[in-house]
Amino acid sequence: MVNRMSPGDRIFTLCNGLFLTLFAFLCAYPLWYIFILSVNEGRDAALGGIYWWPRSFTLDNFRVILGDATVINAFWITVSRTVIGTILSLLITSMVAYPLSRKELPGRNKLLFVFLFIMLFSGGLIPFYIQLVNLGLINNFWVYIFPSLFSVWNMFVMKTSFQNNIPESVIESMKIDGAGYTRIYFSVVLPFSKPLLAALGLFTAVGHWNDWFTGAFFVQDISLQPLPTYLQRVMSTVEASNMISSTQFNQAREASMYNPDAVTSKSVRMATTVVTILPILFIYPFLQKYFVKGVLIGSVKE
Amino acid sequence: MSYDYCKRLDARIILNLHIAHVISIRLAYSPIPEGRLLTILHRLSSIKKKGLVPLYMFLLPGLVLIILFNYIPILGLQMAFKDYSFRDGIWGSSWVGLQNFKEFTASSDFWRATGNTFLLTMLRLLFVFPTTIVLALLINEVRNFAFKRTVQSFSYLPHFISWIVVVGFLDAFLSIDSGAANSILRSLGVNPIAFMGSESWFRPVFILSSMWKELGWGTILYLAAISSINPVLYEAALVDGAGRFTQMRYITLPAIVPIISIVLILTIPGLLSVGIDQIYAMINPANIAVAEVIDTYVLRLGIGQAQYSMTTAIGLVMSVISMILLLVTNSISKRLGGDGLW
Repeated sequence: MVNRMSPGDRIFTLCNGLFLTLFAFLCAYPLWYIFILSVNEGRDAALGGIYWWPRSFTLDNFRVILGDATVINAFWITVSRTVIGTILSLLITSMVAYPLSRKELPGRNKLLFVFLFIMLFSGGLIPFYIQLVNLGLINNFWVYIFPSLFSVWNMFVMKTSFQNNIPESVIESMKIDGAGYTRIYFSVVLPFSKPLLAALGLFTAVGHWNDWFTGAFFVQDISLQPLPTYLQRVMSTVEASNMISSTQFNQAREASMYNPDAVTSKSVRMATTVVTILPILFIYPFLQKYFVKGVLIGSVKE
Repeated sequence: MSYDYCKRLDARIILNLHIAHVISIRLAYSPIPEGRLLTILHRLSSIKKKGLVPLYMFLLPGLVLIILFNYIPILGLQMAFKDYSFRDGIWGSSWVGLQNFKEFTASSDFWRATGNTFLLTMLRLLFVFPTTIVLALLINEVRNFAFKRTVQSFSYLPHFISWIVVVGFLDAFLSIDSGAANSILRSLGVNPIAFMGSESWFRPVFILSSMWKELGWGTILYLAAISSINPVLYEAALVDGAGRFTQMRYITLPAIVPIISIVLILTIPGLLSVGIDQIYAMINPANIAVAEVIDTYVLRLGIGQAQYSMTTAIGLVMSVISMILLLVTNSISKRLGGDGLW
């Protein structure tokens, strides 16, 4: 086939390859840029001109944030909400999807409508906020978990998959052997759906990891804020000066553990950003295996 | 005056009596209550006999959660017609009719936010949507499998980075004092530009950052549709002497038209919301006139300034409009031959 390429085709292939290389580069370069700024001395970086490689290498920015109790605490809040939230969400959501995938369930259509309706209509932000206040979830760690515990979108994806991908014959033979619905759920439905649960779990986990909104509006307590919210507060210029300079900065200077030229508010911000995205980059290869599948399952209707 | 009042009161009493009468007639002619009770009992026992009870138990936690976090807030929408106070609660606050609606429709900030919302969603539709299709077609033309996979891996990555981090990137590139873009401009002898803090640069930065984050991810659906095209079509075209552009134009593009129309239809309900994450991360006092959208306006007035009733009224209008858009969208996609979203 290569031999049969016309000159026009060859030029197109070349241009297309160059263009897509540039595109892939543009997608990845910001990550690299942040990384080199975070391992470069802050004062030096402020002079500009660093694009490809750190000019004067230092790890002091990371020492500053890893020595800051606020950042460490925010990190653990994020880790725990991601782990607890993802596992419980998969459990609760699949527990709803399972009965709704069984055609013999009396009242199935009415129940389906009860769940479908919340996809169509919502009370909006303020009544939701007031409900959180009434439930005592404001300034409470569980505000990260409970409101997002049940995902109606994931539920419909799971229900479709339970209906299409779990062989009915297996369920029937289990029933003949006297197994109840609970045992079928734990010994057939869940094991058969491992790839789906892994895919949805990874998406849910990324959502938890990246969520800054809940922490910013429903939580005022600094000791409960997750990493993205911390980053958002550091980023918003109004608060950046007093947050960084007063806590991390002065501590670092007073302890005189660090080269004062290495640490500026901007370089610390870059290091915090790196800490926030590093776990995502870490699970990205695993994620990649699933997301095409995940998106496709999502687009398949009943 | 008082006579008028009495007449109205009379009318109300008569109406109530009438309703009570109708209900009593209905009750009198309804099927025998015992019979109904028996059918319910019969049904319950058959559910129990078939071992279906655990299935309902499985549903319970999910039902409790949607009642708490979805249905009770929907009932809370009555706040839109009340003067809400924390002390009296949603049910105890006094009714004020349409006053909240009058209040927000009279606010010029609200109309500014509405205008910005439509403008930004339209701009996004205009720029991001076609570019995604072109990118998918270009990726599809790559014959080298390893190269194709690499490009895809890199292009999906930004989707998983949170908007806060993206704005951190923008800050690093575009900030006026130490951003890379401005240091290049400075070395060229051009005055630095406040990209992040100006009204005229907000929209380009908004579109470009949307593209960076979602362009690659958006191609997944199209590439999946393309991969299901029968290769025989291409072989036949090749035999007939069709070049790559001809193949792209007459085989690949027609094959993804159904997906294109579905994606286009699905953007209709989204015309009301820009994505609060992106805007909230980019908004600042210098660009608020072009950056504020309905979502951030509700957030600023509702949670920020505790104007609960008025912002709930806005939320109610938005919910109703988006539900109508969804229903219309669904019937369009059904009429176009698809089987709808549900």
